[in-house]
Amino acid sequence: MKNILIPTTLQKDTVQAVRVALADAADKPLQIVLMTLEETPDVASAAYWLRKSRNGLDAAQEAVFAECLELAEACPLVKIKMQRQFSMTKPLLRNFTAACEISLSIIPNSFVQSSDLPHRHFLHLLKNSKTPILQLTPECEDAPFTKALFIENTKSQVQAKDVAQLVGGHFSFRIVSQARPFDEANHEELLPALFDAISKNGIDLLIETRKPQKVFGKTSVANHENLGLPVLSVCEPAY
Amino acid sequence: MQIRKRITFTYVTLSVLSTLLLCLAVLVLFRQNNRYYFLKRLQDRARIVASIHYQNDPAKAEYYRKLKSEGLEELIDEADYVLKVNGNQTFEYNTNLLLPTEFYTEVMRKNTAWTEDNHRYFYGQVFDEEGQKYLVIVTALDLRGDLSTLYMIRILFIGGLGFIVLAFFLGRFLARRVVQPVARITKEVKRISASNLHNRLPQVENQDEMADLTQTFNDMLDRLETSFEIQANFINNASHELKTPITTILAESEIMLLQKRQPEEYEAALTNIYNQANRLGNLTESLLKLTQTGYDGQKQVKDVARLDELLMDVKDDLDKLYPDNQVHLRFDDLPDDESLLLIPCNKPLIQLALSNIISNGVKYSNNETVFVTLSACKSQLLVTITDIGIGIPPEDIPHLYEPFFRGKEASRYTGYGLGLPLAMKIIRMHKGELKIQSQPQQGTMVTIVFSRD
Repeated sequence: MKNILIPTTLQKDTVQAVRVALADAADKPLQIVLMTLEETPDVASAAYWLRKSRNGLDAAQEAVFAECLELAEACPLVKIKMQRQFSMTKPLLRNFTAACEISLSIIPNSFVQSSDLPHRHFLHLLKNSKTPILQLTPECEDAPFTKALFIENTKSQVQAKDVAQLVGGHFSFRIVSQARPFDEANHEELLPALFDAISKNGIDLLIETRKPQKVFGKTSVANHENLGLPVLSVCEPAY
Repeated sequence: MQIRKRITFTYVTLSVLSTLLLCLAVLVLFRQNNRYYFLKRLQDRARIVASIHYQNDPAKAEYYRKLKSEGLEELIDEADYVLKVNGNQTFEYNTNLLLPTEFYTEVMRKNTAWTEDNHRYFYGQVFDEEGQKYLVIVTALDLRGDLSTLYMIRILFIGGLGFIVLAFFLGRFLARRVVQPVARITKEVKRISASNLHNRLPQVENQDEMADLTQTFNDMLDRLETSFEIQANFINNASHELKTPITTILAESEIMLLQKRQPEEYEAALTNIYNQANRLGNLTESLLKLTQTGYDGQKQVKDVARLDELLMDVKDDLDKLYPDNQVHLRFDDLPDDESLLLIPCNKPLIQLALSNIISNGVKYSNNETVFVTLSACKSQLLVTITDIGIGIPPEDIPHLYEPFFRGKEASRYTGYGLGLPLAMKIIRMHKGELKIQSQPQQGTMVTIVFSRD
């Protein structure tokens, strides 16, 4: 089974992420794991922890969750699971991914924009993991992605032909263009050519590769945000 | 200064320096070794002297003296002194010994010491005989050690001189070896001028810096040649390549205007005209970009296309241009993994190149059968275009890539001699290779190989 993890703050765009996941599932069995991350209250006793920790969802979140469940009900093979997570570590994420057989993470834009520490930390861990990540943008559509632009990493050996294998069978896109910046510095210069290719070829998905080693600070996913398209980031295999 | 002379000079200088350092090290170590063994001998003598003195037996003293003179190696001007030590810092003094105070102080402190004065060595050691201490001093001249040092210096000097002469010749040999490939490249580059810019340096087998230089030179020539020709022939190229879609548009509209037709027919014709106009637009843009970028192939955003689809598109276009053509696409040998057919390219340009080559096959075979075969593996993509046309005479083959070149046989057909040079350049830009094998009146086989990095 190829399950999908959606780390979420349960805002409106989570519904969009679930729609994308459902579109990818087609008629295959799928479990969607919605994960909320909360900060562990700094308390001395278990009872006090229970009192301090926020229980349940607020009304807006309940509504979003209900909408997600409703969407899933239309597909009999899809199950939605809600996971409330207090703190996250690298081994925990690795084991969780293995246990739930997660093969793709879809990150709604609100989660990326969130400034909460647990969210930032989780994002950082996720980008250092080997799971492919699809980062959505507010303006992206639900339509299944068909045409992709592959942005090569300057130092990477991954070629367009290898991408389908790295994505692990998710989405039925086809790479119609590829871009190779001469170096990391000239991303800005590349932008007009990228916009040109996107509009000419009707591209609706960007694909980039990321290094498997630890990357501190902001990763390169952010570089392509201004193109306004969802970015699918796959981990480069170690050659 | 020429590089050859500079290399020789540097080699000789470095050799002299290293030889000099080696000679110095050998000399110093040799002298130290000499001194060590001489002092060792003096130490043995001192022990014998102390032993004789202790036993105080004239017969044994005589025996030891005999042993010393006959059994031990002779020392020049040897003398020994036994001085009785009275107290901590006092001993009986011998006036024949004109030694510095520091020597005595050191002997008293460390029990043993040595000093040298004009090749004469003094070795002193304190012996204890039943509670009474004696200071034994043995002295001798080390002329032989000095002589051997001199002999050593002579050997090193003559050897060093010989080595410098040898280094000079070796340096010249080395310089010649180093400069030879550069000289070869220079000679070959001189051969290439504006009129034969399509010539390339022969690629060397090994993977050294010279192979890199040759490759770089060839790459530069590629860029130079393409930008040279493309810029010079832009208008020709453009009009040549734009002719095909324009012909289709004209033919299509002409047929449509012959009589009144159903709306569906108009729609189909307009779609076709739209597609051709679109292609025209893309082509113009690509050709314009070609001149802007100097055709160096370093385009940052490329299309990723399946080569089989590209060939099918080309076939579609040819069907419109030559409706009764006999171009057969053969995809029997395609791999199971479809991703192996993907090629990063400039789609309109590569289509143009393939179209040029295939339509040449159609044109020069008088519309006979043309086979287009595609095969792919992990390392390369291979397209073979085979026709049974008029073929190319061997003497024409080297000139095929020269713009406006028309072979004798080919001049019977309409054309400008621009299609193949342009196709060649486009393929080269995509890191591909174009090979042509042909037999006059038998046919031609064009092989295009796109290697993967």
